Amino acid sequence: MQAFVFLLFLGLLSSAQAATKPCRIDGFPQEVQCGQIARPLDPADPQGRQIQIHYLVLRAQDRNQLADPVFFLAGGPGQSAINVAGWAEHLFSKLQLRRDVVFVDQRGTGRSAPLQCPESQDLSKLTDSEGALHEIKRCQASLQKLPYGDLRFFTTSIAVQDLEAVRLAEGYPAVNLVGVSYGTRVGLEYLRQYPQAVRRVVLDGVLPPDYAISGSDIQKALDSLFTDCKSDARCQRVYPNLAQSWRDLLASTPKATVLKHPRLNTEANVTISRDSVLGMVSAVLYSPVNSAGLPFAITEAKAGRFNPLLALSGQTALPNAGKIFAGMHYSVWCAEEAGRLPVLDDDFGRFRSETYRKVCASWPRGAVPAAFYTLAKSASPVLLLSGGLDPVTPPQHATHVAKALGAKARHVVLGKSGHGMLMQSCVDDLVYRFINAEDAQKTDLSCVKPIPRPVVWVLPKG
Amino acid sequence: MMIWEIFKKEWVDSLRDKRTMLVVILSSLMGMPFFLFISSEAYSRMDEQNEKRFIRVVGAQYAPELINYIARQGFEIKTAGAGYAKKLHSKEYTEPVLLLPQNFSSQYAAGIAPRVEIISDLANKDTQLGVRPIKVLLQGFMQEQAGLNLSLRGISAEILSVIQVEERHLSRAKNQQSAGLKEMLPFMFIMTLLGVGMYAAIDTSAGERERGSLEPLMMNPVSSWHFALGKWAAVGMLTVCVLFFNVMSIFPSLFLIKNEVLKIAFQFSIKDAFVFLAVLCPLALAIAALQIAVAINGKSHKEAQARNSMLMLLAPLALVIGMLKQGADPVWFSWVPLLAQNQLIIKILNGETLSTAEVLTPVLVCVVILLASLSYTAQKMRGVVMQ
Repeated sequence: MQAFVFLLFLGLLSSAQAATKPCRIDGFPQEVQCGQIARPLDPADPQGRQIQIHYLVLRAQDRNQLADPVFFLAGGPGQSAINVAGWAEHLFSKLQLRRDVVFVDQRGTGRSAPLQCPESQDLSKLTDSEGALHEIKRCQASLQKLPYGDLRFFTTSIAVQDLEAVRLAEGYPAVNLVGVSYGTRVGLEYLRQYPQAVRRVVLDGVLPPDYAISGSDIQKALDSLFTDCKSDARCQRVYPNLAQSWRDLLASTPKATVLKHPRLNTEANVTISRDSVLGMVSAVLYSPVNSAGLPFAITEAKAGRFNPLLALSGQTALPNAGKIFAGMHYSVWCAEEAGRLPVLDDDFGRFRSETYRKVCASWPRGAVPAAFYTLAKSASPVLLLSGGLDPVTPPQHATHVAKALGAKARHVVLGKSGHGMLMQSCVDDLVYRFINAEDAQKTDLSCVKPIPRPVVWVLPKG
Repeated sequence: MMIWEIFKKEWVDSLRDKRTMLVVILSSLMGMPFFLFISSEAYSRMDEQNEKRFIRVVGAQYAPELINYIARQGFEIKTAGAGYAKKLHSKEYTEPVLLLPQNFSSQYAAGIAPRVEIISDLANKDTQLGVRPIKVLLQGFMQEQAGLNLSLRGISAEILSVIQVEERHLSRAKNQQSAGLKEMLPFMFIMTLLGVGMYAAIDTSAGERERGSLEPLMMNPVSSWHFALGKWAAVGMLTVCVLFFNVMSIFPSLFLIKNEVLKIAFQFSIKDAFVFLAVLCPLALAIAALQIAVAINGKSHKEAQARNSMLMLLAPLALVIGMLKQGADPVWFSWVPLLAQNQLIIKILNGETLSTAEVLTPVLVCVVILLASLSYTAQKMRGVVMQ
């Protein structure tokens, strides 16, 4: 009888594919399936040094599962898809009923030849941009000593070849891609290189390959906060001269002050530079909720109290699942962007361009094919999602991509949403229906309703 | 040979009453579609409640901060008028009402926690289902505001999370939710086999006695054991057949599941059907013998039915014991018919490892019941004719 029970179990298990094996991953209470494939570090030398590309598969729950899985493409560049899988799983719970959901750690992240740099919790280093640059250089040197430390081979174009290798290893005839932020660029590159292997694409917070990163969009997001504050009676009453306060704050830098660590409560005498302020505000603007606290934080910082801005920026936060593998981040950006960083005259534009220009001056740059920067008409349906308050991938970039991709692209904009719309109400359902539908063009997108900007935060007065 | 003749006679007798048989078979076949249809509707209703993207609010104008948050979560605000209590009573409203006080904003601005109320009606069950989503929303608002309140005082909201809590499940796969619904099936099958067996057992014993056909039958030069075995074989075969159809009726019934999540969660395979039949068939055969033994003493159809009804009452009680217990099943569960089979099926569906004793003990108990019942029937058969 035990043999009978064993055979029964064996039968139940036989549906799992052999390429993966059961494993435990943070964020999942239950066992999931993990796999890895060997890939050449240098694609031009297939027999040369190999790296392991790790991936996680959440198997479809339906015994009659569909053949095409969902591949989740993480942001950054530098996020580990496996690390954020626990978070993303909720978005895909309905899709997983009939499809595998796959999370591949892009080379340089997570478990796939990680290029990690130490993150400092030291307050004085946080406000010292020259010191931070020095730390990055030191990290670069240590990464280059790794067995897989040739930093030229971590570009997006090479990474999508790894994705294709995972698809083939798992025997999927085609894939559905869901990319967020930088993951949208990965999705577009996969679509360019392997159009026949793509069934549907969802791009949330679109980063076009032919768009050189700049800080101007951050400036626009901040300006829109000032404009919205002016038209809101409550905000206008409490923060009447917000734009001027901002200009005053920048003009007051560098400024010596005492910072308290938001979590550890330790104090440090620091000098806050202009770049420190721009860095902190950039981080805040990613989230509309945090942006609601920005008027107060700017007002306080102008008065020399930087602790609210520091805490709001999350720059001293403990590493979380979405942390960036900085070595991979710079390997991608320096290869794909460094040669075409625009010279801009707005504060954030200059700040961002200068930061990357300094790092990339000595960072090894991989070769990027010219076709990488092109967009072709897509034969597969593509759904593009944009938030109107997004400071890095605002709607106009997605509009440009949608136009280039042609008639099969559909673009949904949520005016007062920030960077990343998948968490918004009904968007997960929209993605499910778009991928599930026989005819994606007929997917009803009407459930996405306008939402308001979060109410600006005001200090309670007893 | 004589057993075969008696079996044939009893079998033909059972099938002769076509109306009764039709009712018995149809009721066993209709149970499953009905059960799955109702389950599907119930799931869809719960989904509908969860997917409702609006909230009925009284006093929305007093709390712009909270209303802003609710709107950002994709909920539409529907103003509930002063007559909301009456509408909840009359079930015109099937959602709870969120009541916001006039002084919400002033208290909020002063750092005082305003009191908000969620109004539902205990007699209006739909409104009860809607309470939790509103609580989740309010919790989200509190969390968001608490995070901002701390950050803007220079304190990281991380200090609230002094430990990280993660669940870890030891089950093999995530999708054990189908097992939950399947666990209800053994109960339905057991009740079916008890019902079908009862009618056939009574007909073949007390029924014959009442019709006066038992005496001529017993005049044949055949041992009582042969009679008992023949009758049992006929009743047992009928019960097993109906059980088989009952289990197999699941497959066409699956088409009645409209709810997508349930459709995927509830996947019944041939393997599952085999497990059900393998575990329940020995029980069906033992119960058939027991029901004949219980009915044989009945002077009339009515009396035998009353006696057998006791078995029908005991069955749910035995199964409730299994539902109420906590922790591992005690060893004696394996020795209690009905309960043992029920627990065994649940364990198999949950992918638990079974010991040989757990599997064989219920079979052994069934064999004992079978032999004891047959022996009793054989012993009593001639006696009751003499009475």
